[in-house]
Amino acid sequence: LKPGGENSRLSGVLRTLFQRVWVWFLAGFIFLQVPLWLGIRHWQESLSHEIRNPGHRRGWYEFVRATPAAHPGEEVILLLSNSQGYGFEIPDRHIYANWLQTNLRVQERNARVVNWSVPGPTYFDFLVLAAAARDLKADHILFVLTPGPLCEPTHPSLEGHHWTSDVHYLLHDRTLRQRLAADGLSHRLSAGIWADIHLGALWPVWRWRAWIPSQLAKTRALRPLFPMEKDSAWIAPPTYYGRQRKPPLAPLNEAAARRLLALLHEASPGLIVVDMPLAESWRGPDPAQHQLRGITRELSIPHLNLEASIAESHFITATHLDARGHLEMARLLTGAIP
Amino acid sequence: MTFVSFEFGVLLTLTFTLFWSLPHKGRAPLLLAASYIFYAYWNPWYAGLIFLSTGIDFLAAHYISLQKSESRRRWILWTCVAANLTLLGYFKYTNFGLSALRAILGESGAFLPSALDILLPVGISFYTFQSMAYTIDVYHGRIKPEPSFAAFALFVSYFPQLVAGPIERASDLLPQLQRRAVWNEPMFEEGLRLLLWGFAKKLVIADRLGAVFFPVFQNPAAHGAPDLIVASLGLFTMLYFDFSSYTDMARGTSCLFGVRLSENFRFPMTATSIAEFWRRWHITLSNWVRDYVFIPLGGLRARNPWLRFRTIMITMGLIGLWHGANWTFVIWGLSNGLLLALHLAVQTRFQARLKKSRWWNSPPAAFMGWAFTMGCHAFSVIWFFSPNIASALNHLDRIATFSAWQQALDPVTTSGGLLLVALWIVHALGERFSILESLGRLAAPARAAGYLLIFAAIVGLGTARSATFVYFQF
Repeated sequence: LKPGGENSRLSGVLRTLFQRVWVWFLAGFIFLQVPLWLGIRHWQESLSHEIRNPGHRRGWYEFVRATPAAHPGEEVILLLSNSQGYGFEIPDRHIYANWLQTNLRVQERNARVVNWSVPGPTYFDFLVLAAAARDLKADHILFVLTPGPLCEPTHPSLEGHHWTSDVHYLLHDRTLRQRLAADGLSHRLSAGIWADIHLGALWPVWRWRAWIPSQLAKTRALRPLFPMEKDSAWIAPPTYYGRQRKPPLAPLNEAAARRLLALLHEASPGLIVVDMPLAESWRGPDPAQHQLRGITRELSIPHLNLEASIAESHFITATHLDARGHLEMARLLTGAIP
Repeated sequence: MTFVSFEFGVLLTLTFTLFWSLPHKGRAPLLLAASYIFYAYWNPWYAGLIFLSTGIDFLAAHYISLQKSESRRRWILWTCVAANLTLLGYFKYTNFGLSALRAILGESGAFLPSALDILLPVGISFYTFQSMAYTIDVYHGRIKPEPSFAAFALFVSYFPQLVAGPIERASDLLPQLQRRAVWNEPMFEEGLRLLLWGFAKKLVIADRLGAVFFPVFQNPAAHGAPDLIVASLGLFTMLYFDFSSYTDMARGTSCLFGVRLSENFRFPMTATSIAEFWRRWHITLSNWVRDYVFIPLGGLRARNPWLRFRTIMITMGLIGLWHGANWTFVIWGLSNGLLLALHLAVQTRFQARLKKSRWWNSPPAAFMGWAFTMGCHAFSVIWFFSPNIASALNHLDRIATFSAWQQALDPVTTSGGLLLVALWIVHALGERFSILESLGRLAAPARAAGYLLIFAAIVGLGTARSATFVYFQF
C-alpha cells in the first residue's frame, strides 16, 4: 500500500463504511433474506398444486400464481368451497378433490382438479379467487357451498373488506384489480392494506410474517397471546363443529351473489353450483338457499342439490365429512361433470 | 393518522427528506405544514381549532408583555386561560356536563338534551395545556413572548408530540425548533433506535397484552376474581407499554429533525410507593400539574394537614378529569389522590423514625411497597378502563364475591400472567441495565445485529393490525 495512494483511499472508505451501523444492518438484512426465501421456495415446491391448497391464512399468493393454467388437451376442474372442500381433519389422499381426480382419470380423462377451497371463507376471499380463476382456463368450476358467505350481515357488506385468507395479496396484480374494479377493490382498499399488498409483492417474507406466531401458537401456554394467528384452518370454537341446529341465516345479499356467480361464469362456462352435503341437524328450508337457487336458475347455471345426499354416519361434524363421506361426495360429483 | 400507519410512514419520509434538503429558512415552515397535515388528516376542522387555540395564546402572551399594569396583565391571563378552558370544555366536557346536570336536576332537567353531536379532537388536552403553559410562563416572566407567530404555531402543533405528548415547555422546545439544525449521525441513529423500540413495545407487547386481557376485563361475570385481578394488572402494564411506546416513537421522530423531547416515563412499574410512581409516570403531565395547579394552590406548604389534603385531592381529581370526561376518570384520579395523601401523611408523621429504621430501608420492605403500589394500581385501573361507574362497581363486586375466588385461573390469564411476570422482571432490570442505552454503546456490527433482532420481532411477532393508542382519546 502506498501512503496517500489509491489503495489507502480505498481502505479509508472501507473502514468508514465498516463503522457505519446502517451498512451492517443492510448487510445483515440482505443476508437473512437468503434462508427465508429458500424456506418459502421449499414450502411452495412441497405443495401439490392440484389437491391441497395452502389452507387457511397464508401462502395464497404463491399457490394461486403457481397453479398452471390448463394445457392443451387437459381438463381442469376448479373446486371452490369451504372447509369441507379443503378437507377438515382428512388426509390429503382422502379428500374428495383427490378422489374426483382419480375417478376422472380412471375414465381415461386427462383431468386435473385444482382445489381453491378456503376454510371459513368470506365473500371477498371468493371474489378474489373468482377473478383469478379466469387465468386458469378451467373446463368446470364446482362451487360447493352453503350461502353463508353471501348472506347479510355475515360478510358481504361491501363497505368493508374481510378476508379469512391472505388472498388479498393477489390484488397486487393489476389485471386482477381491473377485473374487480366494479367491486371497488381497486380503489377502495384502505391505505394500510394497499401498502401491505405492495410490500408483500416487493418483499415475499412480509407475506409470511405470521409464520412465527403460528408456530408459537402451537404451544398451549402461548396460544392466548396469538388469538388470530393460529396456523390451523379452524378458527371457530369447537362447539361450532358439533351437531347443534343450524343457526338461522340472514337474507342473501343478492347483488353479491349475482356478482360472484357472474365472475365465476366468466371464468368458466362450465360452472356448477352445488348445495354442499350437510348433516341432518343442518338441513332444512333456508330462504337464502332458495334465493340462490332462483338466481342460478335465472342465469341458467346448473345447480346440484347434494344437501341430503350423504348418510348421517359419514359426517364428523354437522358440516364436515369423514373419509367415506369424501369418497361418496367424489362419486356424486364425478357423475355431475359432463 | 397514527404513528403505526402507512400514511405516517409516507409523511415522515417526505418531511425528513425535504427537511434535510432545504436551507434553514425553509425547515420550520416545512415542519409546520407537515404538522397541520398530520393533524388535519383526522378531520380538516381540527386544523382550524388548533389554529384558534394557537392564536389565542400567541396574542394573549404578546399583550401581557406589552402591559405594565399588573391588573391588566392578570386580566388578560385569566381571559386567555378561560378561553382555552372554554374550548377544551366545550369539545371535551359538554356532554359530560349535560349528563351531570340532568342527573342533578332530575325530572326538572328533562328539557336538557341528553348529548350534543360534538366530535372530540384528538390530543386537545395535550396541546391546550402546552399552549396555556406558555402564556402563564410569559405572565410570570419565566420566558419572553415569541415574536414569530409561525414559530409559536410550530411549538403548539409540532407533530411528533401533538396528539399524546410529551407536554413540552416553551423554554425547552421553542429554542430547539428555531436553532439551525445540524446533521448529527448519532442523534439520527438514536431517533431510529427509539422508533424501532417504540414500534416493538406497541406491536409486540402492548397490543398483544390488550388482546389477552381486554376480553377478560370486559366480561367479569364469566371470570373468577383471580382472573380479574390478573387482567387488571395486565391492562395496567398494557397501558404503560402503549403510552410509553408512543412517547418513544414521538421522541425518536423528533430526533430525526434534531429536536430532543422530554422523557415521559422512568420505569414506573418499579415504583415502591404511590408518590414515587407519580414521579415516574407521565412525567410531563405530573410536572405540569405540579407547577401550574399544585404549587399555586399551596402545595405542601400549608401547615394545616386538611389544606394539604384538599390540594392533593383537587390536583389528582383534575388529573383524572384531564384524562376523560367521565366520572370513572375522576374517581381514578381521586383514588390515586387518596393514596398519595395517605402516603405523605405517613411519611410526614413518621419521617424521623422511618429514616432510622433499618427494616424500612431493606429490600423486603421495598418489595412490599412495590407489591402494594402495583396492587393499588390494579384496582384503580378498573376505574380507568370501565365505561361507567356501574360497570366498575360490578367489576369490583365480582372481585369481592367469595364464590368468585373459588374459580381457578383461566389458562388464558395464566399465560398472560406469566408473560406479565417476565415483562416486569425485564422492566425492573431495565432500570439498572437499560437495553436501549447499552445497545447504543456497542460496536457497529453488534448494534446492527440488535436492530435486526428488534426489527425481526416487530415483523414476526407484532400484531398485523395495530390497536389505537389508548392516550389518543385524551
